[in-house]
Amino acid sequence: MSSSLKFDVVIIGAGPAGCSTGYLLAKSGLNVLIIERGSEPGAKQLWGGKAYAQPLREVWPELDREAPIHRWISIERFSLVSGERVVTLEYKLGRKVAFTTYLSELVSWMAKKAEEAGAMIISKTRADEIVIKNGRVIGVRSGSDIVEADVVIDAEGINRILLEKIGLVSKLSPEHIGLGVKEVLKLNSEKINERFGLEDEEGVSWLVIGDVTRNIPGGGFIYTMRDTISLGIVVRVSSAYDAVERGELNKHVSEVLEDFRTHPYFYRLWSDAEVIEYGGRLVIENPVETMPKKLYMPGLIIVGDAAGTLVNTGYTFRGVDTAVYSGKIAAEIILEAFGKKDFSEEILKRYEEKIKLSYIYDEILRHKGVSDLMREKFLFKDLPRLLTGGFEKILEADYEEPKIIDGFRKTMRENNISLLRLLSVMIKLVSKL
Amino acid sequence: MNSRDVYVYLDVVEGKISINSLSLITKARELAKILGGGVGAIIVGRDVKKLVKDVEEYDIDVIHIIDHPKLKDHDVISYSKAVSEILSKTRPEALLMISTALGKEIASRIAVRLRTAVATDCIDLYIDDYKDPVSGEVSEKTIHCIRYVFRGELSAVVASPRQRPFIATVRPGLYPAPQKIFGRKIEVKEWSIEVSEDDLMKTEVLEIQKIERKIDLSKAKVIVAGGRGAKAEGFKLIQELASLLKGEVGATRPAVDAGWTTPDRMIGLTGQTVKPDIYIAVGISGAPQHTIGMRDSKIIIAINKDPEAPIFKISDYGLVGDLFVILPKIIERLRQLKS
Amino acid sequence: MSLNIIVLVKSVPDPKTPPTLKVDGSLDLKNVKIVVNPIDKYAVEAALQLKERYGGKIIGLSLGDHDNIDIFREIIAMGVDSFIYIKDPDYQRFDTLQKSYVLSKAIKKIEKDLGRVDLVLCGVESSDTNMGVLASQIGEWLEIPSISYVDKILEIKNGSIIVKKIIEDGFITLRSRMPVVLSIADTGYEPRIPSLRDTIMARRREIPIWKTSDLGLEFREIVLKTVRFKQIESKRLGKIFRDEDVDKMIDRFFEELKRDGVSLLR
Repeated sequence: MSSSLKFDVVIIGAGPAGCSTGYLLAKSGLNVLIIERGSEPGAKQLWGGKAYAQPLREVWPELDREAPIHRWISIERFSLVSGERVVTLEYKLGRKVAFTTYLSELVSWMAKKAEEAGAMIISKTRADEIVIKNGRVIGVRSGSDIVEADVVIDAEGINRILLEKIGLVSKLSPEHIGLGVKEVLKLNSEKINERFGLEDEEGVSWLVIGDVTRNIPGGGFIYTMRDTISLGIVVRVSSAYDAVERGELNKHVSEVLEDFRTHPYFYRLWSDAEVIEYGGRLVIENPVETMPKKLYMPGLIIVGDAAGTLVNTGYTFRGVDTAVYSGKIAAEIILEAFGKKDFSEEILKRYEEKIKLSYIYDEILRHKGVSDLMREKFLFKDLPRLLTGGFEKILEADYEEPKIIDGFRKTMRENNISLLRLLSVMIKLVSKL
Repeated sequence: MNSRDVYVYLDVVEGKISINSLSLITKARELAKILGGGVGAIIVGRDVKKLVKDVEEYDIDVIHIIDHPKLKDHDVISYSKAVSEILSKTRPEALLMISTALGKEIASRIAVRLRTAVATDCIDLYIDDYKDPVSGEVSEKTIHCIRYVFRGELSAVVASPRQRPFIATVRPGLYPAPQKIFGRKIEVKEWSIEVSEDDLMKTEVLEIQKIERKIDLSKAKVIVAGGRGAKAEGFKLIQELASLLKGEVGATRPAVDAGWTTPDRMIGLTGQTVKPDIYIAVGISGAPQHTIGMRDSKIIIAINKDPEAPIFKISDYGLVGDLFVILPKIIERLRQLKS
Repeated sequence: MSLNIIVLVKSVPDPKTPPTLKVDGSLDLKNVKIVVNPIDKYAVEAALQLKERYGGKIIGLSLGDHDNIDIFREIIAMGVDSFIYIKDPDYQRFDTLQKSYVLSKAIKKIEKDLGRVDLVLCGVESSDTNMGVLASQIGEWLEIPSISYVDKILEIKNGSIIVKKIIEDGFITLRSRMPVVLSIADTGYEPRIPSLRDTIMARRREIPIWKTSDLGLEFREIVLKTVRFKQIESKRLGKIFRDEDVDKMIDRFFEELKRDGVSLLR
């Protein structure tokens, strides 16, 4: 048996997509190998944030009970900021829709589930090549070893080196790339509960638009973890440079995050917290444009971020649930393929069809262009100014309280915002979000 | 002889009693006072009888000595046999030794010979009652040792309430030199052992290489040190940064072995122990063999491409990334600041 | 020449995430991840290089109380010929004397099967207890020589081994008769990273589990007791910077230095 390096399925990458596919296939009795570049599953997954639960529950019904969940999102907040003035909308959730966690913890749990189901996960191992013979993927090469498989699953993530090599995707160009900057603040859970008005295990997901990003197109977010707070912004790299050219961005992007953290309205929530981690990462701007030409070829299926399932919402990225769900669809098709002993395109292309019929694709399409829209000066500059200015006129009036409509009309005039423009953008935004 | 005595093993290094081991007498006296016992010293080796006069004015009650022509330096087996011989006849409460590579080896073997407890690298000792958590039995006035575990993330207190003697090796430099009491007469007891030819044949010293200490890094205010990750080119940058900061270059053992810098710049278990105001660790993962020599630096800055490198755990500032990109930029920035 | 080598491998809580303490001051080991003591891999590498040079057989040996035998597969993948795990439910109470006693009994048992053991290797110390006494104690139990802090094994000839040992102010080269126990430092033998093939093969290998009761041990009292643990509060600021844009990272770094009143230049 010395040369039996053959598995039913080899999966490249033990992230959310790789682990969900591996888990479902191993549970169904297939012989599954997952190879992971990092020191262990989850090790390369930076930070954490918010994950939607329902798609995950479809793979792991025991999610709520077993997964390393920090806090269930109970409050969604949306703030428009102009200078020191802030208008905030708050929505209280009634169901367990999404939760916060560190991605490293969640992925390590998913990997444990896959291993328990019988998948073999090998870390610290890089896949160097997807091996193709006669137009069909037959395995994966790592160093001098080739592991054969009936189906290879590419779950390599956003940095699609292997797919580039076999020509399924082209190299990302700068305009496709955004920059995420994030800080983790340490604060004990009692203080987090008190300041954000939470009970134990309840969390806040908070989207912030306006001046906090120093008028750079992009948005900020705040998530409460168990005993840390994550805050960050996502900006398009090129737009950050544009801002520099225009002289509007006189500080570096990382300083913008600093401005966000020290904005008086937010700072009071964590003034005594300590920054324990700081970092930036590149992210894909517009997933639709950068999706692989196709999500399959004979003997190959692409899942997760590599398949372009990462949804850019304009202010943050949603990728865990879509990655897991793409893995679920892949597993269904692969099981069908094994039933028929047929790994040709005829069968595997149904994966792409199913992805395009799923909520994932809806989400991607729905957010297509939202990042552009979110970047319109109107949304970033004018709308926050309009709302905060309008409310100021109404609520901070010293004598006679003006009518609401007068307050806003006056602010619109001052800021040179036309009603028609306001309405058209509002309609566009509402239809997207 | 009272059985609650505390003994000190006096190291003989190059024909002299080591100062570090003498300092243990101070601690031994403190413990012995509480226990109501005396302080004994053990000297073993070849031609060591003449050393008695060097220590007889210290605060010791009795010196036990084994002087045997066949006891050679670094002969762990016969040394531990000799020390065990004295201990099994006298049964003191504890034996304190200095934590050196050789000292730890001797201590470990004594513990097996006498079926007793050993604790290495203690950072302090004190006396307290020991209560057995299961039986509830109390052993009064028991020696407790404090030592680091989990690479210094935790400390542990250990004790051996029943077996004697408790063998403890103690980190050097913790206690002051002992008092001299002029004109006092110490009792000297000589013991003998059989040293079989068979024991001696087992290990022999072929060569000793001492690292010359031309440079005293312990005085440097700033040290920029490189490790395995730095490579020869990295050391050029390290040198540049060190001179810019008016500091010294340091290195880990692997970096010295690779020939990127000279052995006298080695920091850690084999090299020097330093406590500069600023320690910049470049391409150093943070293996305990290195960190033991620098972990008390005032401010530690680490540059390493592996975000999981242990060095970051003991750093005030950690920069994750490629040192060949980061260092030139830091140097450039400092140049700007300077001008 | 052909060498029979035993490498001792300890399982420890992952040093990257050391255990925290329970309210009563004992270690909270429930959630720790168990890994192979990092320095032991250097001993494994030393054994592999000896085998490559002189031929022979390497047996990995470990003692513990957990069920995560999979952690030893990395050692098998590196190239040891077989691996034996001794499981004892009382292991957490063991002191160094007991551990070295059990292991030396197991070495005796392996020796019976192999006919001869030439070398016993281990790492200089474990990342959990940091004692560094195992090699010497096993040497004493087996009544054979031992050398700690070995940097390199230079040569094996005529039943003797020549090694370079690290001492406080340099090195010392020693010749010892075999069999001998050596503790290997993390200096001379950078552990190899196993290939994917070897890793997969190692997953399929059986790891026999022995019980201490099979080793014919006499009852021994545990002589060293741990009274309590204490968390060492890190006085370090622990500010970590990572950014794909290095300029930004350095900006941040210098800002933080300034804010904390730290001046690099003097």
